[in-house]
Amino acid sequence: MRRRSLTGPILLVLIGVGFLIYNVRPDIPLFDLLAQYWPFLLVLWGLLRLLEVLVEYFRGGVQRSSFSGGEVVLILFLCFIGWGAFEAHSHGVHFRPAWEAFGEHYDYNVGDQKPAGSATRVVFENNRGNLRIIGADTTDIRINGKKTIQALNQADADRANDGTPLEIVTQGDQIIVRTNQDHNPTNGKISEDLEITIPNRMSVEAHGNYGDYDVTELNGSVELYGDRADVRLNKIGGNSRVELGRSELVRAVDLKGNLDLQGRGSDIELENIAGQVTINGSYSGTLEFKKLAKPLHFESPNTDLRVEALPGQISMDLGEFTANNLVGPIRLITKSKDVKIEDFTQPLQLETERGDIDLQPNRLPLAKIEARSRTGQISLVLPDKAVFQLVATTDHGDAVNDFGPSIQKETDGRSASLKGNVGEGPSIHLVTERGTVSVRKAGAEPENTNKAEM
Amino acid sequence: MNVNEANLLRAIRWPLTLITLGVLFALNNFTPYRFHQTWPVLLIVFGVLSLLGRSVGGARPAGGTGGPQ
Repeated sequence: MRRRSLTGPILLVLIGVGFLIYNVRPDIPLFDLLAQYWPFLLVLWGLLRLLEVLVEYFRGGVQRSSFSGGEVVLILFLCFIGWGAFEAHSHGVHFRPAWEAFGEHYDYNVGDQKPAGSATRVVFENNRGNLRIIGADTTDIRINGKKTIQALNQADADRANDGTPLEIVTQGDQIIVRTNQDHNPTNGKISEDLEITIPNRMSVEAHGNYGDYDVTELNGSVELYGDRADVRLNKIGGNSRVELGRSELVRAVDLKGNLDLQGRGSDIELENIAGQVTINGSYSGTLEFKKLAKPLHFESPNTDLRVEALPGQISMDLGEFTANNLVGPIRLITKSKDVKIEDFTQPLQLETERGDIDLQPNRLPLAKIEARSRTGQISLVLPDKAVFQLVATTDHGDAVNDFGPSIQKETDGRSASLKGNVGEGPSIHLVTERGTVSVRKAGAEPENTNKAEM
Repeated sequence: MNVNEANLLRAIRWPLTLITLGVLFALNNFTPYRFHQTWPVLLIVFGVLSLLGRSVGGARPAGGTGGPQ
């Protein structure tokens, strides 16, 4: 007779342990943890079944272990719930058991003030809530804000409020501002929105999980860490470092120092940054960069971009990259984007897997251009007096020469190419595997393009 | 013994697939590899295990105890 599986009892034990943890240590965010770590339940489940089979095998018999219908349903159920939970979790939704969603919000005013003395750095520890930090010509640290506590009744809310005092502590050359939300004696959610004025000579470091940061007019450096946060930086003198789990918006304007940004999220807006900009992460929204004086390095799973300086602007989203007025060397490697670059100097290296390329250097002298698309058309517009050595090829497609007789078209089966040397210039190399390549003079209309595509 | 091993391979096929499923979801949660990208691994794992079962066992085990449902 077949033994019954261990899975059922073990599942029961796990559920029991879960509820026990929840009851004894309400401060552990069990539901958030589950949203992230649930796949290991599947692994554990599989390992148990594997173990059962192996034990049976070494005892001599071999038991079949196709899952019962109930188990399959349970696994599928777990996958759907778990996936949904994780997606919701990473979009900032938080799981509280239904019975905690009841209750009301109680508001308390919080505030404190303390001389900064000789401290050079303020460290904020606010788990949940928005921070607005303003540098000013002052010697004090002044905090004003509102604490919102979710509780079933006023007494619970008061208890939560008493257990989580706002503290300003001096430690060496640091001043630490703590909201102590982790000391909450109740289960209710606490959130604090604070407006803080600090001497503008100071540096800021902030840690939190859920809440936005807004930092304005500081001469020191800024370091912001958050799980789920939007960030706005304005007029910062020192270097800025921002590490976020997920954001809807990161905006930085008028920075004198470097900006180092890491995380996942949606939109980024950068304008007028004097220092180096390094962005590492994955962003699904619209990215706008304007007036970056030093090198920009953007790296995401789909795109690698390096530009020496950006007097103009770059705008990109998941499907499109548009830029004008760039200083190279420029390097852009991307998966599927239509790329349009105007007004650039210095060498350009460009690769896109799927997408059209449209290049208009517009400036002389030209530099080396190397552009490659796997599927997509490439169009190049050259200034009238440009000197260059051009090789443009397509494996499946047409080649269109609107530049003039100095460029020759060659066709071979389904492939076509344009070749031409005009003076002693840098090499221009355009390659597409599938699509039209066309070269024309600035000012001339692309008259042949439509005909060529027919 | 061959038949027995083939049976073993058949028997561990589903648990291994389940473990793979768990690992793929863990990758989804903790690395940039999303499940909607990695799911073909499941087919590959299951396919490879089935192939192994075939090459080790050769014939189908007697008595109708083996074989995918």
